Amino acid sequence: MADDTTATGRTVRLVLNRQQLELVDRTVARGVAQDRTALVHLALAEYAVLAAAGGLPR
Amino acid sequence: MSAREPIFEWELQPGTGKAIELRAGQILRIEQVGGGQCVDFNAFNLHDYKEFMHCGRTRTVHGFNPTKGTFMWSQPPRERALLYIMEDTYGRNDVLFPRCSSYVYEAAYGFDAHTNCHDIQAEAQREYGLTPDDVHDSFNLFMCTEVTLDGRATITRQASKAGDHVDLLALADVLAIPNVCGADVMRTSNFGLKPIKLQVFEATEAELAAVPKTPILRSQRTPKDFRNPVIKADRALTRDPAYVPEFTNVPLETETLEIELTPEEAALFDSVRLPVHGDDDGAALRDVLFSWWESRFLAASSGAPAIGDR
Ligand SMILES: [Zn+2]
Repeated sequence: MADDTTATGRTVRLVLNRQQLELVDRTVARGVAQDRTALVHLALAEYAVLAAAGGLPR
Repeated sequence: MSAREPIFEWELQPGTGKAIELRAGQILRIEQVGGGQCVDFNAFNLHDYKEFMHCGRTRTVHGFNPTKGTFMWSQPPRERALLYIMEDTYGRNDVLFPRCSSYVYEAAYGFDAHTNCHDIQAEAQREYGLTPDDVHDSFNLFMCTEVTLDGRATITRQASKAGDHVDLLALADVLAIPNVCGADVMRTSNFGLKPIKLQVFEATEAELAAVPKTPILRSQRTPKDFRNPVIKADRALTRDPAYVPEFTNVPLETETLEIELTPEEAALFDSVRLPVHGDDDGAALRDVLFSWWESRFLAASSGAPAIGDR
């Protein structure tokens, strides 16, 4: 499943187009996270909480 | 409002429609006389007929039964609220079904000629120089429809009574065209054709102030923004040899972010990833990213300003 598996975790290659990057960058600019990478980590953490609470429309 | 003097009155007879110039700030009341009568409705920007009320946009924003407190929107890229549904005493309308047409009555019932909403609309619109090709998808007032579990739309009988009415407040100058639906052999109007009363009133300051504000967005474009602002006046389609495509944001270059997941994050990721992405980690993480973004930041769930959303 992983692009690259190590003993400590794995690396995911996240491909974003310029529009998706614009939205990411605008969100970062709002102070939601330090940078693009931090935003993705935050998204995963908060998404998991929402998913566990059944709060995500599928 | 009934105490107010109407500035225009008309009784629509079965088989007919009427084009009415409705200025911004005027209210068109469409009222049942005998009850149980479906009314098809078209509306155009009075100063530019290429902008018209768009059922697709309207049902996306307000659902399959838009009623009191919702808007009739024009088509992309105009996307303005043209009319506001200020009152709706019966509360059953339809934006799923197209206007009925002569084809339907010939194919299904064998009629050579029969009253039908398309031809009635076209004849009413002809008073303003429009052609049968200009009739657009109709907003069907006083029409009861349902969507079945297998995804089909069906028509049921209706229970509107004499005096039931819809009040449409014009937010721009429009040509409003209501017509008595021609379907007397369907349950749409309970197998009968009845007249409909039309009145136009001036809205009060208080009524105008009560309309929810819709935002003005850069994406709402008019002919001055079009690469080709000229209305095509001949019928055949021929290629423009000088055409050079200018699609927005194209080419859509991509960048790759290398996201290092800790063992805990990797386990979390695997527990929430959606099966639709198979073993594509990148697609699954992109889904997580934008689904999260939607849940946290999305301002307009129906893809348009959530004004009067229901
Ligand atoms: Zn009809």
